[in-house]
Amino acid sequence: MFLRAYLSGFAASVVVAGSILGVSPDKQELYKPNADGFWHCLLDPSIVLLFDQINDDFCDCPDGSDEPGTNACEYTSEHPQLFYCANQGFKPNYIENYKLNDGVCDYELCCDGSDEYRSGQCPNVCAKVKEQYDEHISKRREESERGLLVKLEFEQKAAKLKRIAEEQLAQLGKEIELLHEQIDGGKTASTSEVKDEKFIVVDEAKLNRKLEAFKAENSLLTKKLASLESAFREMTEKYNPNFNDAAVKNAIHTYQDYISNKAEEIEVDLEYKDIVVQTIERSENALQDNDQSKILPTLQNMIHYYYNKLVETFPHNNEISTPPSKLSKQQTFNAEENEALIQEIKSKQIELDASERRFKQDYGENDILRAIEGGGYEKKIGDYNYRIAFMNAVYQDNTLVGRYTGFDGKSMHFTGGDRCWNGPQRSATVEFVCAPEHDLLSVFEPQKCQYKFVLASPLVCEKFSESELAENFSVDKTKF
Amino acid sequence: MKGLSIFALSYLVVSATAVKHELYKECKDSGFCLRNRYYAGKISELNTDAPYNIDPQSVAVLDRGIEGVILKDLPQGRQIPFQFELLLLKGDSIRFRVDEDRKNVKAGHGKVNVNRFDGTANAVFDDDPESKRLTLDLKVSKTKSGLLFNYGEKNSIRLELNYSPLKLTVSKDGEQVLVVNDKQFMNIEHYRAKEENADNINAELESDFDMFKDSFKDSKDDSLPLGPEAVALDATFVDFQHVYGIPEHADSFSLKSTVNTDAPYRLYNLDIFEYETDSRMAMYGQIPLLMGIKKDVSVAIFWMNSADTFVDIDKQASVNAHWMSENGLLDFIILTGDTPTEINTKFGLLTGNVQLPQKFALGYHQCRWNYLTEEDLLDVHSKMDENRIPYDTIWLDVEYTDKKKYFTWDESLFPHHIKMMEKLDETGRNLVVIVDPHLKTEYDVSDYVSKHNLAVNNVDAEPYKGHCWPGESIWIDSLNSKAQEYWTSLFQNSTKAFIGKQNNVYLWNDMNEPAIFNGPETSAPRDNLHYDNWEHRSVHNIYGKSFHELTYNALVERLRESTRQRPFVLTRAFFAGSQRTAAMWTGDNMAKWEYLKISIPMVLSLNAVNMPFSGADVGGFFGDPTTELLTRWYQTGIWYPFFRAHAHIDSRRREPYLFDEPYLSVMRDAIRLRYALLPTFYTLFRKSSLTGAPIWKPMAFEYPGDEKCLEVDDQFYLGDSGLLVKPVTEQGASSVDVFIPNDGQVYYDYTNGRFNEKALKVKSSGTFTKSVELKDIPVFVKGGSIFARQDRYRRSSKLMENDPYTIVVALDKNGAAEGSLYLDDGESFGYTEGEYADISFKATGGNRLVSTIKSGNGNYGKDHGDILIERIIIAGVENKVNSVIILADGKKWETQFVQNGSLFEIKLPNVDVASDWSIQLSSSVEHDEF
Repeated sequence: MFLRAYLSGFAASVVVAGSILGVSPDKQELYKPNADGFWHCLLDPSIVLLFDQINDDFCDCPDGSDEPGTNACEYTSEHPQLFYCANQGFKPNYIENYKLNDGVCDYELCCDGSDEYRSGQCPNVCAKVKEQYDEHISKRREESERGLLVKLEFEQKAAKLKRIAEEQLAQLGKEIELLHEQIDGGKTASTSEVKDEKFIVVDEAKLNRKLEAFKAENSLLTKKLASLESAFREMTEKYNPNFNDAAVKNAIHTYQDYISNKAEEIEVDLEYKDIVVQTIERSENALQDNDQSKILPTLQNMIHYYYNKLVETFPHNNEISTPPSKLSKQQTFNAEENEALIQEIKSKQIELDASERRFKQDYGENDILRAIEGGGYEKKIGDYNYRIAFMNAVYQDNTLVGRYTGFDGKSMHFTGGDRCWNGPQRSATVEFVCAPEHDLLSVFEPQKCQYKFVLASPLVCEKFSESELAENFSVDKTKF
Repeated sequence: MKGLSIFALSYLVVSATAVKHELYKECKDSGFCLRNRYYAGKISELNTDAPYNIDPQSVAVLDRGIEGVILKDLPQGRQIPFQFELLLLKGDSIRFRVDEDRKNVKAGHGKVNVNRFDGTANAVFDDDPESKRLTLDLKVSKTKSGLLFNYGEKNSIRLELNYSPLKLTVSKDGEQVLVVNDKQFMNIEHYRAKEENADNINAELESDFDMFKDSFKDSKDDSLPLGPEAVALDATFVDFQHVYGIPEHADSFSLKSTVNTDAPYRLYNLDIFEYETDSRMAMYGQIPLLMGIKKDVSVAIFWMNSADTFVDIDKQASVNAHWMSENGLLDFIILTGDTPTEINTKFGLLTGNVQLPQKFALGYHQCRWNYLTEEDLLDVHSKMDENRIPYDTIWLDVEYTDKKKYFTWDESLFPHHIKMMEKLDETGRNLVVIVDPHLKTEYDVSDYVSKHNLAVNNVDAEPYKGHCWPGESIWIDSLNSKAQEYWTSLFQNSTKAFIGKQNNVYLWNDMNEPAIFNGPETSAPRDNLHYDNWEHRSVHNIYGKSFHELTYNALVERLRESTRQRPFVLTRAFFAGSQRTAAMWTGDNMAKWEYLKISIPMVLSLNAVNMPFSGADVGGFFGDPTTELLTRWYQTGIWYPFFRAHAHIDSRRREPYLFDEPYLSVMRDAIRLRYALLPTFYTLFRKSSLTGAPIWKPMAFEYPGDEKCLEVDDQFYLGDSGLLVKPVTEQGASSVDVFIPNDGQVYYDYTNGRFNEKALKVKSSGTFTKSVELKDIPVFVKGGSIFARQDRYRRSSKLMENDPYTIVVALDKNGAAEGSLYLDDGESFGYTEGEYADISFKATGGNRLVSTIKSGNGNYGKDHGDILIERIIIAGVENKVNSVIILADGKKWETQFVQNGSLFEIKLPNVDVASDWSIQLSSSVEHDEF
């Protein structure tokens, strides 16, 4: 082994017999020389050092264990190098070694100033920090207790709302049952129903005219839209960006947002159309005759239908053909009544389904979200007005930032908002922090088009432990 | 009918991503350029005598210099006289200045000042131009046809002035190096009224295109009150193959031939939106210094003119350059030296050198348009710490203001901006805020400026109103010396003022070309009027510089009582002399590989002409870089003298901590390497501040005699540190071709800032292929170099102040090396009063290393005696070492070491960095005495 002939005054001062700087009292025993005056790295016994190489401000151990009191060993995620501050007068703590002796009094972690032991420039302020801390804790405790009271009210309200919802569900169920009974009573009439071909044909003709009209209107609007789009596209491609005209830039942004979102709107529309299609198909099935030649226009067969229509129509000089002779004059009042009942059952069933779906939603612990469902909070920050509709959606002015996807006990999540130009769809996380009243504390965009809101709310108040209350405690250095 | 995603893709509109050529003038759209190219063509074609001759009778050799008259012959028989003077300047440079007597030019041009603008020299020189003049106590020999004299060190340079044909020839050591007006392209369009034009034009040689009007579609309103006023000149760099300089262009380092193209190099400060690479178009700033480099001699012409300028380069057996400016004096300086670095030193003697920046300014700058709120900004701040990425400065672009009114805050977004600054200050962090020269109309600042005649005026001498970020704006006339007092008051160190009393707040001056959204070429109408009724066309290229100087001077006042006295100002527009007061960046680049690549020759060109404090936006301003591109950009950006990441408001967030592994670690490691090398960067800046030496030293500057080095512009030396850097700028690169010059030196592989134990030395000179992974930053150290590092991570450079140093020694073939380390407080002007230390390291014989401290006032070592060297790494130790003996402060001791092949590491030598010491590597068992 090699004996160093020289030790700097500083290094010597760091090695104090029996007490290794930076090591907590319970770990001191790990830092004892063996009988020959040697010591080995804690995680690698094969590396043996002279005892006075501990805290000599040179990193010898790959795990950094020989330098608990200096910043000589690199702090890594694998080997976080932490220095123990006794914090006499408050609570002991650890500080990252790269904050040692850097000239910053990191009082958040080391109120005793021991992280700056080389210069000694940071006096112990633990008493003052404790004061601030106690004040913080008692203030937070008071707030959270007040918040908790509001939360209890919310919970009561939620319980009541739950009861009402349950009652409504039961009521709907009953009503449907009753309707079924009525239908069962007139079953014979229903089964003996004979379809009125004329009725269907007239219905078809009307529908056809309407569709034709819609089609014409649609084509006109499509043309208008196309010309507007092309005007905007041309502007977007050819505008002079050097002019930086705010109006032009805004128009281009709006157009780009519009184009980015257009596909999604179509998708949404089509989903909606699927429902319409199903409804038509259902009524079609209900009305189904054996005559397969009578096809109703549906979205799927639209082209085929209109092609046939065209072929049929033109020879007839564009007149609606006279209804075929195969007519039946049978028409029963019973059938009509039954039809109405069936429709009513259907709509009630839809209502019931929706209510049940809503009822089964996750309302969080004690169903508390029922108390704020349908409510919201709105605040203007900077140039924008932000609107958080609880369990529904978030808006920045008229831009949809996201639709509600769930609550994880701390944050509400919103996704699928309007798409950003050349970017993702907007989304937001609303983090709830305990307070007696609702207030939007902040909003920012940590990633392009991903928003983070911090919302004060009684909803998340608890009987917090001291460490929970201490979570957002920060030392106010201006008060020293 | 779901699954429309393919359909959706077709809706993505590709944004227009090319410069709008039609907005900017080419030579053919500029009357003066087209006319002078025409003139040059006719002179060459007709092989006729040029109409400019010196009147031999007029030439007088005076104490202050040589004076005389150039006569221009008009075909109608008249002669127009121009006064010229030939002066010898500091650094043995020659100034040749030609003016036109316009005292008989009648008014009738509104208020415009009818003289040729003579203020460019005032703006360029770091002192009064007269102070640069040396007495011409030389033996001037006059002959009938001209005169000649020798000057310079050992009288090795000869200047010959020939009267007819008018020519200036510079020879060095008996060899011609530069012939001015070699091709007789000199041309001065003398004043004439429109109606007298026919009597004032040489129809055989001249075109009269756009002499009295501007037919370019966006400049039709130019009243051109003084008609044609162009000045032009050519110069041949005799037997030179390469010329460099005249930035700013997104082009190769060695300039291209332009004579047979539409586009000579243009020098006109412009806000060029989405600029192209491989282009001779004008950009944001100009330094009209053109330098020829070859073995044993370098020569440069500085064209001292601040008007719109084109330079045609003609590369034949020699390089000829044809300078053409719209108006102003015909005024140029010839600088001659043995090496390009000597040209830098001489140019620095005239125009000043980069000011030693505060150390923080060399750290990492985190910028974005925009951090939107104070919470947003502080979130970025704390995320950098959470991810252990060092940074020194965070920036605020225009959105912090209330409606783009500079000197205001949007209080709803930054309600506690002073507290925010204090928070940053806790960990040594700084804030840079933007202030541009356009002032929104109708608020107190612009009202004051208008009312006190401090605004740029239109042709009718009323404050000019144009459009910029705030909408309708006026522009402060920073060329008016009276503007300083008011500007200074806006930055005063007072709680009542804009940035309070915070001394960690610095400035960014953007849009100072000036950029005017509705102006011709996105800039100012040329007939606008500045102080003393000078036309804008005369002062255009120095306006931006005058603006950032206004800010610099205001900050000097603001910080006077602080310990942080050195201002930091970033500018986009610049001119020769800007280096004294500002850093610059290369403007609005794009997030594409080609822009990463072009940033290297661009930064090299700036370094070559004394503007070293420069860099490109890391990541690319417009668009979204791929993570690989961003990573490679960080690995390149850490070497930019000015190292800032910036992004457009429409781009995605891209702070380095937002990325997954391995990218995050690779970017963090790169930034940390920059911080480890801060002592070396700072030392290089100190040297540059004294000598004008480049921070990015081009290969051509290191080996001007090696033809292979003259065109290399994708790698560079880091000043004189010995570090040779080859950034990876290709997508998906698995290797790079590295060029090692044939200088007989050892080169050590220092990839990622660590010696490679397995392959320590590069095998031979020439080009070799080095394989690289994503994490790799190819770096080499030239044998014979010593430099210093500080390896320990801290949150900011300020917090590294007391950390120990590592000294890296790369021995040459003879076991020798040298290097230096400069130390001071990193922020005050104390160094100007001797509060600094120059430490020089010298290795000899492969076994001895000596450190010698030279303190400015003799006290530095005593005052800073507690900062240690923790490690000395020596590459190239060939003998087996048995002990390491240290001698310092009259004491002697041994220390630990590790020897691994020829790589040698001394642990904890326990010597103060600011002290004298020596270390002996002893191979004998008995200790050597020394």
